[in-house]
Amino acid sequence: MASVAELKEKHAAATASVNSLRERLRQRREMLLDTDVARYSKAQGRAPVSFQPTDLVCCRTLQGHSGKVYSLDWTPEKNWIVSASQDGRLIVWNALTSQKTHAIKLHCPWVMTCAFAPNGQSVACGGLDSACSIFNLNSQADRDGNMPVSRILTGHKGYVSSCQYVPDQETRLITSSGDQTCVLWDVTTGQRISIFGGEFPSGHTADVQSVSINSSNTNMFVSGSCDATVRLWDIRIASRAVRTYHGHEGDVNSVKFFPDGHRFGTGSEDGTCRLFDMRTGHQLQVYSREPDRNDNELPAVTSIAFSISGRLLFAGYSNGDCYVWDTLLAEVVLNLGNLQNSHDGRISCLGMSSDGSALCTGSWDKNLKIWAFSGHRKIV
Amino acid sequence: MRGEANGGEDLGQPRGEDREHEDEGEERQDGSAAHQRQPQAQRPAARPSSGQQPQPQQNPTPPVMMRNVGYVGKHRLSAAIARLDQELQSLQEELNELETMEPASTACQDVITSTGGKPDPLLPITSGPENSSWDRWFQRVRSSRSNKWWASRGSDFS
Repeated sequence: MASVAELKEKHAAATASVNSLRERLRQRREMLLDTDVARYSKAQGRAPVSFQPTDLVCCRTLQGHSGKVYSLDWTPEKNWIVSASQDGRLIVWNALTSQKTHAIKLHCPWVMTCAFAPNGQSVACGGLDSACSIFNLNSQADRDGNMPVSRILTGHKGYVSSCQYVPDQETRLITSSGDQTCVLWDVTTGQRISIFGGEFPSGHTADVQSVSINSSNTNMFVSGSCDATVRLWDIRIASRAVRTYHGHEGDVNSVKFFPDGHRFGTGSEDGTCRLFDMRTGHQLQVYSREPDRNDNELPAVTSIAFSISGRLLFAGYSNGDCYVWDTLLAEVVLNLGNLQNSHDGRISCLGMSSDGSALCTGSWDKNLKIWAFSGHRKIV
Repeated sequence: MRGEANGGEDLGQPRGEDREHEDEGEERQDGSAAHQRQPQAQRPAARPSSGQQPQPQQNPTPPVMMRNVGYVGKHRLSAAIARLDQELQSLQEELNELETMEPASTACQDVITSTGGKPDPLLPITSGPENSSWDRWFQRVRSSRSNKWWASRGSDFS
């Protein structure tokens, strides 16, 4: 084998080549960014979305957790929501009636994420135990009132930050982890089907915080990481990422596919949200808030969600704001954090109901809230 | 500074030449090794280092790295070089792709078109058809415990 000195030289040369090529790539990409969504929309004369003061209201407050809410997920069909909290519990809610249908005490109280199975019969959760636990909601509680775990998915070497079931597949789930990988699991056997990232493949180089599966093409998913990038994966090809998206200047905390399945949105510690084109890799828009009067650092984006048409982008921030962005014009049209009955703390998670009629927000104030449109609707 | 996202492997870091991603416990101390911009205090409590909690399933802590560069160091360097070469290859592929790629304006038009198509219950102006179940959040609901009901839709607010 070559000497260490020779290897170091080679390493330095390769690093220089990579950096140089990256720069060329960056410049070439910049040349292709002839416009962004906002400039393009304005040029077409598009009018911004305009809300009356009482159009979007908080119509439910779901109280019951005794700790910060960290994660939530809706069922695809019914009006149920599962939430995970610092109090070490999952709660399943009927959002319409505000009633709790299940309260599940977890073995590991440090839960960070939860998800509903497509058929609404199971929930999954994960966190600092580096595992993903599955509960069948139809199972009987034991003598102490505890619900048995039906499966534990082990294998990650770091915390489980996010999990999502593959749409229409009760048996498959994707997790993201602090161990820098994402994993596709078979829930029935508990086996890892594929590992995305890790030592050799073109994986993330820091903790992965979030995943989003493309509902239009469930073979594709994106992951957001503390390495400031988003990567696109084809679940059939674990050996390398299909594409890496650069632009953010801080941890990517949240990723969500745009409803058309060809774009995705991101939210980051750098205080911005972005819209990327999946196929080309172009950064189509940056959603950046105004700095405050004291020029303090921008609050981080913790979580995002699109309305069902994609026209609205909801973004929760670490300071309790929940901006409603007009996706096309890149303007903030409402701040749910300023409305009556808004949360008293950071918004940690957001989720849109499957029919797009309601947004659920979860907060460090221990509550979840449901927001819906109560104004006059004009149908064109 | 964009940390590791930019320059691939950087073994010249003050942490020591032998240490790379293998030192997972330490690398993830602050949950984002690649980003020194964000002060530790700003990180949400939901993401403390996985290395600090009892982890029955984790591998035992790797042995303390020897300061002497030896066989272990060469292997790491070779692996890092292999990764860089792989990255060079995919960067070149991407550069080739860009030669014939359409500009952003094409995708921008697609974004505008796609948002126009679908009825959206949260928009004040939206395409139809309207679905009456959109307003279920404001209809009278009988729960087994109480007769809760919520204010009816504001359609008669002037």
